[in-house]
Amino acid sequence: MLRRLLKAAKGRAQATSDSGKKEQLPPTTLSQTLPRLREEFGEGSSLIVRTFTAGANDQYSAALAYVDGLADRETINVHILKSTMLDVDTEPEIEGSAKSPIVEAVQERLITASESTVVQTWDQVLEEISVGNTAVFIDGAAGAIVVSTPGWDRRGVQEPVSEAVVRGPRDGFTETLRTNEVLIRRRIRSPRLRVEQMTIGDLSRTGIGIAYIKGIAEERMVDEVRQRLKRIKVDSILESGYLEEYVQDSPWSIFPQMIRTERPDIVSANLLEGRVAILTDNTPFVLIMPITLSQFLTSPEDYYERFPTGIFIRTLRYGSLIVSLTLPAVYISITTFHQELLPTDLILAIAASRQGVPFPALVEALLLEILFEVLREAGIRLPRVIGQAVSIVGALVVGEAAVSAGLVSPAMVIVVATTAISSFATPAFSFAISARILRFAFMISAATLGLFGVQLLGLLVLLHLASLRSYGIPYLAPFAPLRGSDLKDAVLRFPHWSMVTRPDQIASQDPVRQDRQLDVRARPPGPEQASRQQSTPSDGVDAPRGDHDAT
Amino acid sequence: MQLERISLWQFTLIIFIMRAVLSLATMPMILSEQKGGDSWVASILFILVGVPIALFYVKLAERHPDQTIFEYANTLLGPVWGRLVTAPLLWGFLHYSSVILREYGEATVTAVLPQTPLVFIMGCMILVCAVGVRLGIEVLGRSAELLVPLFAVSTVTVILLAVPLGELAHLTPVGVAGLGPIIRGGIAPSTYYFLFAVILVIYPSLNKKRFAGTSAVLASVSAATLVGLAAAVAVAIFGSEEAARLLFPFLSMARLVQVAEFVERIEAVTGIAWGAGLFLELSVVFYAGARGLGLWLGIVDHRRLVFPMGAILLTLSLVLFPNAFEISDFQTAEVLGPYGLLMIFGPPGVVWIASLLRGRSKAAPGQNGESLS
Repeated sequence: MLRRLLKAAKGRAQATSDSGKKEQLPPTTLSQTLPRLREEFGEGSSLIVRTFTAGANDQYSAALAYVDGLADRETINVHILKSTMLDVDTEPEIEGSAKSPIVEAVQERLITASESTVVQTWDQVLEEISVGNTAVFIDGAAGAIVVSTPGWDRRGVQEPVSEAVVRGPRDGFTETLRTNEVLIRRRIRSPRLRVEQMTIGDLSRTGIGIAYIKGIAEERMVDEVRQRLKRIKVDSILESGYLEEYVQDSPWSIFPQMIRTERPDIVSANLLEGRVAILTDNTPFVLIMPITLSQFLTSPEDYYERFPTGIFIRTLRYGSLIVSLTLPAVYISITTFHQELLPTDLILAIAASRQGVPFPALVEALLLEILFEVLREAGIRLPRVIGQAVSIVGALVVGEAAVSAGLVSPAMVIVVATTAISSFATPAFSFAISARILRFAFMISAATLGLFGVQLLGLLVLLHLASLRSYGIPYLAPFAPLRGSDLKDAVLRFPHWSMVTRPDQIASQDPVRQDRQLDVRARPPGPEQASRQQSTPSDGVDAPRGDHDAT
Repeated sequence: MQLERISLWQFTLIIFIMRAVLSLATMPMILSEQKGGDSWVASILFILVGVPIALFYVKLAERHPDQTIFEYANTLLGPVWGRLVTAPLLWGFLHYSSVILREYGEATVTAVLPQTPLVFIMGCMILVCAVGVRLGIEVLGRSAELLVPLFAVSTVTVILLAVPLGELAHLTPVGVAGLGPIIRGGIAPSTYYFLFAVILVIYPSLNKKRFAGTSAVLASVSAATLVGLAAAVAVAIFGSEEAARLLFPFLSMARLVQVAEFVERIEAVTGIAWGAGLFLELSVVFYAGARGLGLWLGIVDHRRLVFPMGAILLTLSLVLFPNAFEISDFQTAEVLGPYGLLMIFGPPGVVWIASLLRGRSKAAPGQNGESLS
């Protein structure tokens, strides 16, 4: 039944893709072309059609068409209209020939815009106009000149809202693919940085960029990304989240298998380690793959602050991930099943605080946890000013009132609050959500089977994590399978000069990041320093390379 | 079906867990009737017993590096005799895993959930194991890399913290009744080396087969040392007679540990770490059984067999012993000794003789390459 449905759907999809017309653009008169064009874009559209005469002696009547707001008028005025109408006095006659038809001649000699092509089919013309380009038709000639003129209102580069840092660059991606590419190129100024373009979505025609560094990223990996993207046949891609669900390895998993970020520095760092990034037009969120679990617990600041700070904070993060996953569950199982595990004084204090609470611990915990999740959701959606009010009312007033009314115990409030704070310590929002969902599962299993239930669920989660892969890379690497050199950048963050190699398996093409010489470290000035500086040329090592641009 | 790959480190951890977990909980070496210090001396003396057994299995596997015993037994002995010879191995995997499951269930009921029916706990456990077995040895190997360190660290911690509680007087006298009781005390725990037979099934999955023997020996010796030390400390704390009466001496030991009146009653943490190790042990033996049965029956995808086998395993572990004390009786030299020794050396021995007569199979080219494991 299901199979038949699928087959029917597939057939329909084929039919629509077959009906795409490949109609040639015939050499017609403008009087035929322009009404056709208006008809295609529909009544009352923002299509602007302008007829004019081109050439030195005004020998050609021509027309251009673009969509208002998508195309940059300044470019059109200067590089199409002015250059074909006014600046042609010194030009010799333009004659079309069999070898070079009139359209090509005009494109080559009159149009001064830097990017233009000649297209021959209706489809292409319509598509190019839709993305913000300008089509120029010449009376009596076949084909049309398409001049690249996209230009619309765009948001400037701003600080990323969802990934703030104390130390580190403050620029974030925007909604424009090109701007985002530039933000990466400014950090990796090498021609080896490749951004392959493609378009996905029959209607949305969303621009996609596959970014990688040639020679570091494995060809196999880039090819796999390319193939997976090419398989997508859908009408629209509105955000990179659409792509993520199509190209991840385990579609049913609760864990994200790609990192999404709006920070160019994160993307650059990952590209430099041999990973691949997918840039999507119209969204500031860039996808990175392949990734491992440890990267979700990594913040760019770990690398910007000195390494002892990085080590301390990362260890803290791993701890708080475990706390945010299991603390309510452990509390529930201890108060429900294993009271003997706690020291007597402590369990007496907890028991006293639970006195008069009408619910079992699970109900109490669920009540508070759900209240907290709702609060968080409400706080995100509301305008910032009101959002704060909501969290104050929710956290303080409701919490306090619930305790004094005897509905929940103060100990539970502490547990839930600690859990909530811990869950905010995970830098990757997408991963933190998975942990939040799992927390409820842990709570329920704790209420059913106590610590035994927590253990069983923990083992299940571990098995699942161990079976996950992100583009072939085991999710739990470098812990399982164990990769010695990669442990330098997992729970701990070793000093930069000690991280000689790039991640194993991901960058096996060019595994060495820097010279192995220990001399990259600074030393106190002494007699040996002079000789050291002479003996080791610092190529490959990140020596200061003059002043970087100050913009 | 794509061949799964495990690394040498994962292999080592799996062998370690095969030896360490089950005997750590029940400590069969101190169950028997020896008096005084004989029991702990037995556990120390028998540390090296695992070495020949591990080498025996690895050497046999090395003769046919790309196949499991269930495959090359058929090639060497013919389909009928091959199956007849390897059938006891299948039974062994099934039997030992149901013993492990029962131990786990009893320990959980005793320590944390006294009012929950045994069958429910064991059912939950076997379900989780079945999921692991379905995911394959690769995933189990990776889980081992996280679980075994957890298990080892918590065990070593408990042992270290428990040392001050012991009394040296409990460790003596040694050898009053001669060497007999000591050797008899060592035989029963040694039969658990049958679990090393999983080597015969997982060896083809090893991505680098050099040093497999060395790491198996190292794993066996370190695990046996850990357990031997734990047994010695348990005897030092409880005295040999009381220790022999305890169902789970190690958990009792953990219960006594106390540091600065803050860290106390850590048996829950220990229990969880031990349970994780036991889960791993059970899953790998279960995997070996399921994989073996699949090959034995000629079913390509062994994963179909996992849930039916799990049901059988659960039933078997319930009917094997009427109560927990029967498990202790089962683990005496008289009962387990001949049975275990026959299981360890019987079927593989026959296959080895056949292999000696018919010659080893050549390694397929490209099998020793590295892979993503």
